[in-house]
Amino acid sequence: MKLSKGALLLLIPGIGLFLIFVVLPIANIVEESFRLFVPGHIGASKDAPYTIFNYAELLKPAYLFYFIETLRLSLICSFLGLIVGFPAAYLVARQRSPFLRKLVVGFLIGMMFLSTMVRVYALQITFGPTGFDKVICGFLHISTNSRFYTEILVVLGLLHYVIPISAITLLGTTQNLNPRLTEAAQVLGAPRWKVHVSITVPLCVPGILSAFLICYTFCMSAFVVPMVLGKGRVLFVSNLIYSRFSEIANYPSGSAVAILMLLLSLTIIYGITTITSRLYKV
Amino acid sequence: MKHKITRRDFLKVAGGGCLAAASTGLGATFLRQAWAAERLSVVDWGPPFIDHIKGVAKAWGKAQCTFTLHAGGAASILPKIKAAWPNPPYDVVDVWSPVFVSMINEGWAETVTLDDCPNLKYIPEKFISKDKNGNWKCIPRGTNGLFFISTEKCPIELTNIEDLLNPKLKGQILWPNPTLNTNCQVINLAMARGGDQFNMEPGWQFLKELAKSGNIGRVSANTSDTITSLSTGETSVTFAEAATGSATRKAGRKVYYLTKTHESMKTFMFVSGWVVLTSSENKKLAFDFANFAINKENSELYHKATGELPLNREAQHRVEELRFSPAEIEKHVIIPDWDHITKNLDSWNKYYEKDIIRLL
Repeated sequence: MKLSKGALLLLIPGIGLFLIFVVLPIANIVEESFRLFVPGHIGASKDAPYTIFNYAELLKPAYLFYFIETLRLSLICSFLGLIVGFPAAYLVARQRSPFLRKLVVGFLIGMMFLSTMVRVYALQITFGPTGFDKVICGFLHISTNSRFYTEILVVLGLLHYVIPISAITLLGTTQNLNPRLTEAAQVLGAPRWKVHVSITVPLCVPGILSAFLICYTFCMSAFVVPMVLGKGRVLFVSNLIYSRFSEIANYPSGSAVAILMLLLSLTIIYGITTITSRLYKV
Repeated sequence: MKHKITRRDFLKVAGGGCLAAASTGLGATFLRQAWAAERLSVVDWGPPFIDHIKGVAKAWGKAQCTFTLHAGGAASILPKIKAAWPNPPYDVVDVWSPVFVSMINEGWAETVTLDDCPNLKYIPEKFISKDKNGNWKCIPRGTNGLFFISTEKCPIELTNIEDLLNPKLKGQILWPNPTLNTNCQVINLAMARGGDQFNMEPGWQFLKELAKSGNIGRVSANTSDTITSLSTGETSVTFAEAATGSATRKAGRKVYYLTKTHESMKTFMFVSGWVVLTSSENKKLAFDFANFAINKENSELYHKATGELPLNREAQHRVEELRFSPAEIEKHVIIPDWDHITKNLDSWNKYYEKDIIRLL
């Protein structure tokens, strides 16, 4: 498709902003990640030599732990978010009362506007030593001090964001479903569960994929939730990046972690999209 | 119909554009200078420090002060200054010993003399950080120690550092991460097992045992974490400084400073104070403000507010836990090599990330 002069002119401001605020900073980070850091200084000096040391040290097995932890908890949160968000979106879409529909959608959108710090500290108070941690841990037969309980708190903190996001993302998809398809299947004798499994879910795959990817990328880049609720024991890759940039001033190492995480995220997203499109012809 | 651009049109637009750019640039410069002349930008820690310094600024009254809080440790201001250099939006920054070293190394700290800050004559010279040419580079205000603290919620009485491994302390220890307190807590562990700040391996082994024991309930990343965790009773033992202990006391907890309990539990003394940035356009005003902040009266108020010991010789203090006799100094007090610590903090942080966190 050949773009006209007018169309090109209209694209220039957008391209310019993209170059200045996205491409240039990333290029800066990539360049910084190959610089040598001299401890005791702030970042790399302008004439610091280039090195691959910052990447080489991240390939050590010990750092794999952080990437696995981040990806694992993000995957769990994204799946749980879909499991809760999809039925919620379906119920809202099939709701007869417009008032109730608007109320629930308004509630979901309102949840997204709630301050991160308020949510996170509310969870910490509710599930911490002054809250219900002993009750919950007693029920689950685990210690309040256990890593498992800390992971539960981090997952809860992330779900606070992920559920509204996935429900709102899936709202459009479920609204576009023709209800007659499910009615037809039921008329032909299929039980409800089979109707949803064989008709509703496959038809919603593009929306489910979008919601999953949005939730997954959000969880992977989460910073405040693991920092506060993780008790300093459950750390995401974003926390490593923060400590390097903010506390140690080792910009080259922080840049290397950031670039590695970016490449890993893009690879995972590409992989999931490719597999899903092959399975469901999306 | 094609619109022809004439030379007159072009000159009008170009001239107008240049005038706008120049006036914006000039205007911005004049505005900045005018703004700078009326205001002083101060960076300090959160409560109780910020509450104290706001009171000092009000009493000083020679200019309007705007305040920025340190987000986390004092070192976290350094990337912000670097990102904005040579025009960071700060005039004077309250930092402590290891950060003095970093700022002097970067060339950000303005030289200060007795003419700039006459009250420096009441501060012992050994507490004033200098560059390699012997120029004074900071205006120290208080001294403090990093040491073990316990609250009344602690299930046992801590008599020496090995008690940290007592199973009765399960989940009760709030361990600072290496970037908080510049890892002096692990230096203490190292010294208890025959090492020191130059040989940290015994300390890391001790920390591994502590991590595996399950006694570490939380790892703190900043002072707020520490105060919240201690005051809610989530944990009852930590390694911190007097200001944190003081804030925890104000939150209603009984706090014990374990500074003279046993020779295995050391007190790492440091100095905190002001650095006037070389980029500041209000250096005279900044020095005057810092000079006012370190006078006898304000030094005593600072001590009452934060628990830090005033460096002004004429100011009084009542923190008996941090008043050491010469014999006690020998047994309990360490003045670390801050330059060495600053240079090794990166490798220590990486060791902690690779070998310790997984054990927690």
